[in-house]
Amino acid sequence: VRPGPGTADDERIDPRLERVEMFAHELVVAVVNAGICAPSTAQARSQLRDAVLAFGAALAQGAPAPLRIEAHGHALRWDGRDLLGASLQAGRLVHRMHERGVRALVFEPTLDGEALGRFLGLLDDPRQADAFRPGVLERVLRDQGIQGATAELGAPAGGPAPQSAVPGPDEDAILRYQELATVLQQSHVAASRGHELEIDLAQTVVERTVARMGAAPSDLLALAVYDDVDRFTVGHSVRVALIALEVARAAGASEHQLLLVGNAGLLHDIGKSRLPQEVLFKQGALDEDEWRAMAEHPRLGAQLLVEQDDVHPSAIGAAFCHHMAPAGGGYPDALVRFDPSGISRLIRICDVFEALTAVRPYKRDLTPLEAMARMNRQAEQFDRRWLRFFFRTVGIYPIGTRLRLDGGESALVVRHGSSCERPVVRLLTDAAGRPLAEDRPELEIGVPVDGRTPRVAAVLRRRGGQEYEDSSARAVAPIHHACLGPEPAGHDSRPHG
Amino acid sequence: MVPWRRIRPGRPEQPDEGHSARGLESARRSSSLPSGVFKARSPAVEQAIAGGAGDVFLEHMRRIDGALDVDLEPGLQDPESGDQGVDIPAIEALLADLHEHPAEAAPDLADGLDGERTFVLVDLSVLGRGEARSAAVAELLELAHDLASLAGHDRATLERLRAELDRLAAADRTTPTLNQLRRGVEDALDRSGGRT
Repeated sequence: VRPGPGTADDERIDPRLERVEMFAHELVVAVVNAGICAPSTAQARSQLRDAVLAFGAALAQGAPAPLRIEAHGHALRWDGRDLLGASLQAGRLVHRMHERGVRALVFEPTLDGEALGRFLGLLDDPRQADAFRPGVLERVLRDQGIQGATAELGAPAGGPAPQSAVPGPDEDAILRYQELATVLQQSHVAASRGHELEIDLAQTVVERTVARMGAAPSDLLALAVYDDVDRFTVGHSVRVALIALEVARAAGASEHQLLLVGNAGLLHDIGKSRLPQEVLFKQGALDEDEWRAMAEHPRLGAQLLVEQDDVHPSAIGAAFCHHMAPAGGGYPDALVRFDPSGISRLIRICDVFEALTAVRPYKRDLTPLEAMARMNRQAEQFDRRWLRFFFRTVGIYPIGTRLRLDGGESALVVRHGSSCERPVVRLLTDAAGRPLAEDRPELEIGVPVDGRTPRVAAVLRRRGGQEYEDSSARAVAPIHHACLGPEPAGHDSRPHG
Repeated sequence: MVPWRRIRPGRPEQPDEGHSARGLESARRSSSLPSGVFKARSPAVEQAIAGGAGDVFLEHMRRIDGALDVDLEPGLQDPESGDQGVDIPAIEALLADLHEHPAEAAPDLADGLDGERTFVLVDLSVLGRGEARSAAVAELLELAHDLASLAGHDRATLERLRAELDRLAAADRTTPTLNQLRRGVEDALDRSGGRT
């Protein structure tokens, strides 16, 4: 793993930011955990310990103490920089900060896991809202023995992040994404406790998402690359829903159908909330019995949804069928053989694609092209027509992908070009990393312009709040070469998909 | 199950000369390592500590995300492919496949929705548990007596359903509910033009 050529990445990479974002991730997960399990449980204590360790690592990396995590609009921010990845699932934390009038959470090196747990509990408990008043907070913290964590009171700030070479998502996009993640977090918590799901709320959030898609089709999906916090597969399900919505929209789905697809994508893995914790959170390979339990999650999800009022059958079907191959195979081992619906077949494809391309700290995330090639190699596992439509719609370089061109510039995919392997890009920086004006003409990859044929040298990836070209980037150029042919390709040199 | 392949993200940790002793203190109190280790103050120790916290984070992420990847079918799991996993022939085959179907219409999202619902209910009415099983049985009984709804299924779906219900009966896995559904399906097929 190495930074790319040019200076832009070198300047952007700040190891302190990476560590602080990891700490913010842990805080977000700890807050979500607070809604799932009691503070005394091993899981909650383990998470708090992880958060404190991440805090220590941030300090060891040189982040100055006290460390302030601000709420800025709907995002978390440190040192004037958005912690976008951590923010995407931070709806509950940011909401609490706004409710309590907390501008920033402040952490001192004396922080320990117990104090952090009590502090987050204080912040999360509506009965303790009065604690967050000037002159009161200090006493409450002292009375509760909370050291190393406090709050900076005052209305959270708003407004855009400082100007950077990389255009960020707007506030509304973050809010919509947080809503999807939050409603799903709540659903998983309710399911794991045997409570009724808030299906109406999920539908409302999907409706808002669909409404937003009409205006700006892909900015929510582009956010997905930042979301590497997860809990109960929430981020995964949000991404599956967003990808499925994009593909369904391109397929000409009505608004009603889009709502069905969004709900089905969001809820397809809800059955995992009913898996034993020791299976869901097991480190390492599953044994035969554990695998058998895992293979039941589609049926568990369908059961859970059948028990609710007002769940459309398409969501129940997708929960049951998202691991079933069209010609049989996959799981669960259904009592009867049948063909999944169009929605379920689409969700299955999005589910696998997302899992293969997702950013995970412990595995190399495949590029969309690699994931598609792998899926195509196993095409019998999918509905082939949906698979091809999916590939064509998402594109080899999906909208929002950041690329390094062979001239050293960085560029953003803004739309698909004349075929799925020829994205249209907007240049972000020149080869020296200097930001370029936004009104520069867009380029279509593989199409000569001004005597040069722009080609893709690498796909830029993100992890831990940082952008980088991973070692697989070395293989991207030959892939692109294979895509476009050995000679500079003209507009019509190959058939268009 | 293929074991996890772990690839460390980011660049190698660079020990920071101006490290925070307080950060070390925090790490010491949180760590299971002997406290003497934290007194060394050497860059190597700092690196180990920073890396250790990173390891904990990675382990944590592996734990909470593990379920995502282990549920992929074995043919799609291929973590060992690692950095050498770029399969250019597969990509060329993919592109050729796309070019062979340049103007393909989008498939129908609504395709098979009614049938899927019924088949899932059949499954849950036998293999489901508790409330879900009861709900599935109730819905199937309603469906069995509602010829209009059954007639909403296309003929191929009804025939498939009849065949699957017959198969269950032959395997002695049917239930009174499924028997009633079987009769309803037969009636619906008769009304739609007799058996095929």
